[in-house]
Amino acid sequence: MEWIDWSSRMLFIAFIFYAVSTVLFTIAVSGMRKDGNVNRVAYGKYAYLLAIIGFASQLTYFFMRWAGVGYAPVSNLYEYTTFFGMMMVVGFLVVYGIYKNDVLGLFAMPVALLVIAFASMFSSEVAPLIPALNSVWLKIHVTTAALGQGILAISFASGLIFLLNETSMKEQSKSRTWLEVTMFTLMCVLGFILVSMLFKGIGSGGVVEFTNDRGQTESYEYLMPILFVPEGAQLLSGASGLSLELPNWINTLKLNTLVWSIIGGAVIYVLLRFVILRKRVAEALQPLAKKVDLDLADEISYRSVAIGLPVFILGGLIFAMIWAQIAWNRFWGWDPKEVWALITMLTYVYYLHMRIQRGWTGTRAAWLCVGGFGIIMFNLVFVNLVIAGLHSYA
Amino acid sequence: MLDMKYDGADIRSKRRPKSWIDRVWSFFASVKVGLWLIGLIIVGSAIGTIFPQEMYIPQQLPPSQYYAQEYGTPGTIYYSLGFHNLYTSWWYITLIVMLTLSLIVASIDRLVPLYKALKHQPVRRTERFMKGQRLIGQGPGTEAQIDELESALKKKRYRVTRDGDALLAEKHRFGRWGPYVNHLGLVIFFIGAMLRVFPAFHTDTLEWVREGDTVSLEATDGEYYLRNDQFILEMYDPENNEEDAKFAAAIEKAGAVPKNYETELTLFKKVGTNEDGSPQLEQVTSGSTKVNHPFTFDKYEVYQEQYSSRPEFLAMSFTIADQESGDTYGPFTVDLENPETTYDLDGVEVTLKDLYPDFQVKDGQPDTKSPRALNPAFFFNVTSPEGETESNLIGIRLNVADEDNRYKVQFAGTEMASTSGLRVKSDSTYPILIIGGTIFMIGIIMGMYWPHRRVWVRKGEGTDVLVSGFTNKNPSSLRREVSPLLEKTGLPIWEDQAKFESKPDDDTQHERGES
Amino acid sequence: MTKDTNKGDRMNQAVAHKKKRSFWRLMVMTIVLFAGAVVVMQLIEQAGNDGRVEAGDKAPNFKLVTLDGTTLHERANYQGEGMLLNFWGTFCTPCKKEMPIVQENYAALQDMGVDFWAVNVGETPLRVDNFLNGLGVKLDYPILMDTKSEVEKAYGIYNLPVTFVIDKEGNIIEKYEGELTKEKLMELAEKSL
Repeated sequence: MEWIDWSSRMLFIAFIFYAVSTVLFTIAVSGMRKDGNVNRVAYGKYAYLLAIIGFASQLTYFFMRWAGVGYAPVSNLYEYTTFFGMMMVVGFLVVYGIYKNDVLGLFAMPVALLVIAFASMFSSEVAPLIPALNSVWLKIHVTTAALGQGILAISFASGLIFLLNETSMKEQSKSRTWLEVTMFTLMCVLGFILVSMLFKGIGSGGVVEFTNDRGQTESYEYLMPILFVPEGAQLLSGASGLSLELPNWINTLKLNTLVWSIIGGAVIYVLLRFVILRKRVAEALQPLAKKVDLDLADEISYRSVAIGLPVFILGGLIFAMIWAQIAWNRFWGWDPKEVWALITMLTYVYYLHMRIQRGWTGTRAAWLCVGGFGIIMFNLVFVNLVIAGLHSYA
Repeated sequence: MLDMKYDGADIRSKRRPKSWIDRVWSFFASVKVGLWLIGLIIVGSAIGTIFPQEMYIPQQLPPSQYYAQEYGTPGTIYYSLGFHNLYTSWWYITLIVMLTLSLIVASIDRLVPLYKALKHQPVRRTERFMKGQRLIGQGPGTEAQIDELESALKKKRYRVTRDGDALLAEKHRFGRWGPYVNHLGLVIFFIGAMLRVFPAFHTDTLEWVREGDTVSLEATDGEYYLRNDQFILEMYDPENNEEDAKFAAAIEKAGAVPKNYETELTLFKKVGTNEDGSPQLEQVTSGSTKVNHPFTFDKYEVYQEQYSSRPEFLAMSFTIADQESGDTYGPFTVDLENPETTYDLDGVEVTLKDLYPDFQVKDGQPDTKSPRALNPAFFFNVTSPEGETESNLIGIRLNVADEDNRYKVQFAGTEMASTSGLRVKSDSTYPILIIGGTIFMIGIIMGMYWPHRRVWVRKGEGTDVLVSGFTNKNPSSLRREVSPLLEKTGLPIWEDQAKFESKPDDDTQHERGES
Repeated sequence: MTKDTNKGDRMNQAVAHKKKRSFWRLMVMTIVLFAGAVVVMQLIEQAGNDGRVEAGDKAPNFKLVTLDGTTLHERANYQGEGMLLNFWGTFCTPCKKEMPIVQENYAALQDMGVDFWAVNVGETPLRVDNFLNGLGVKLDYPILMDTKSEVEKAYGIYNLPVTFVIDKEGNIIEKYEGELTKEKLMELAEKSL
């Protein structure tokens, strides 16, 4: 237990370092001090250094937890998502090493922070490893796939920078609308985290019992105030709230969480847009993104894909097939997770061919990078939590 | 700018098509078509994950009912469109086949001219050619400076060739073959995957083997036999196992968690037939198969796939207690699969009148739920040496007998057996898949990590020197690598002809051709 | 003159080259599309074929003894016209219900040249004997004991009762899952002829 307690502390320390690093990157980019004498280069250097220290702390977390649980800690959603956040940091450290660009840090580090915070919403309880997962391929397949995804995520950060830089905020355009949608989606993730913490603190959930399609009695344990319940559900404990009854084939527990996350996201968004910033969120970020030359932003997102995709294919498809053959006796079974890994690959393959063969650079390429990251997150969150399959551990 | 995709060489399919063959060919050779196919495959694949595919749904219900019951109207629509078997549907396979054809045709169409163009490339290029590159510089310079650049480029591991004052430096040309190598790998992989559709290329059977039983393996055409020596189901045990203690909280919440499924087995080969028709077996080897560690022999693999959650009873033993004298008779054993009906125990005769392997009471009568010995019950008649007969119905936690019976039937022991579900497989397409996958990965790494870079220098009009550069991947990297060398030698610095222009209040979309 | 000939030669060469190229292009495309078509056809054929015996298949052969252990019945040696091959168990209520109906019409079936074989799925003779004694009707048709469940496995039996309609050549005409009524029984018997 010692190891695990310490590992959690190390993760928290890593989180703090990442957060401070993000702040320093912000100072480095925007020069927040009014006298205008900010030494940007130095701030960027310190920010990078802090990111490295944060990474070292997280690595310590990883190996401590490994020592504590007795297997590579990438076996459930908490462990995997944390690791994915760490791999995003690795991706950032590598790409920053090449380009030394502070703006990238300003956008990549918050995304990594968000991912790690999101991870901590899942149960961090030490769970025994089921026989199917008990294999050396767990570490080989999962770590390589996560590394690939982490590097690919940098192309999202950099694609976003390109789009923020390039999109005119003065006139209505598709890019402007979708950028705002992207911002709102990120707010919803933040909303989920904050709403979960809030309701955990005040404990305003409840338990309902109902008869499912197969005639069995099932119960849902709500951690958030109940908005939706299955048909004919009976409240066992907690407050009933709105309690709208929906058909049984809809999982109202998950819908409840989703709706609360959107509500949380909407509150944050409205506050930012109409109270704090008084303009579009994208518009507020634009001056920061303008500090990078478009060519560089475009190039970074291309390089991240060029480096990350082979790693992802190796880990997420080839190693995955080898392990699936050993554990499930078929290398490919059209499990949703497998299919979405294939879709991830095909999306980036599409990106590369469009770029190299058909000259899609700039805006359209940047949108493909944003979409690619959306698919990666979809595969991580949605496929695990909503679409049932062989990979839905946790 | 010049179209440098195939080094300015003539792409076969771009010539004006003459016959219908050429037209079909150029259709499949088109990148646009290939990308459309990829897009359609992405969409199709995604649809298949909305609801589970037929192979993943529980078997108790027919699929037609399952989708409707579980997912309502959307489920019914999903089922009626055939999306429950999407990945083997004719249209999905057709998309894959067309993509394969597109890969083959596009690769042939481009590889040949590209190969020829790169094999015979002149060192001295025309001014028009050089000015058509993305990276181009022009300015005063001398031949001495070009010589200096030559040695600087050589230090950067460029292969340099000279033609008088003209210079060609080249690096990583083999990276140019990466896409073709990975396409080849993919095609080989697809061939392997498609061969698997035919039963001749793989065998795959699930064998349910009870402990102690020996079965003929259908997948081997009866050549091999397998005996289940023991099935092992190990659970995490936080109370008794120190290593597992840390999982106590999780197990308390989620219930018992299995640690290991394993079948210890012995392999036999059929060497002949005995006179009574039974096979003559010779032991080959023994071993075990567990999850993640299949047992292999010959070209076959045995996977621990399933087990029956309730072990079956093989035999049960009983004793008879004479409650008058205090004597005990027996024990005697009833073989559940092939029971004897009478047992003579020193004068006391026991007759097995009926045997219910999976006992239940139905309509007030003893009955059986299934033919499997999961919960056996026995109907015995016990006859004393004096010829008096008493009846007993005995089962697990069940003993129906007359209060004042003289003889009492008691359990003396059980023999149970678990059943393993073993998947026996062989697949002759594995080598093809492995070769295809490896070639594919090599091609990707070649193509993505080794960008082809070239630098041309020549004298132009007067004292002018032209410097131009080409790369198939990332022009900025080439610029960063070679610009310092140009600067050092004093040759004209090249510029990127296709830079994005950042205009704060301009909403035009930035696109540029990457030639 | 020579110049013209050269030109002509080159033209011929170009035409020949083009023909050759067209041929190879056609070959490549035809081979891939043909292979694809074969795969699609194979998949369509395999769809729904899960190794269970269905209508259209050949009836797998078997040798089983009757309940009293006296007679050996072998599917391939059957001499009659058609056959109804039924699978049942003592634990299956519809099986119990249909047995007296089959018995009532067994003579009529035999007159048609159709035999009715009832295979018990993996139970002990003791249990089956007791069950039949409790039925209240004496059955004249053969009760075959598949004590090792081998025949059951070969036919891929899931639901009981199930009746296979087999013609004289040993082809399965129909697989009927469910309880037999008099009408259904006669209908199936007709089909086996």
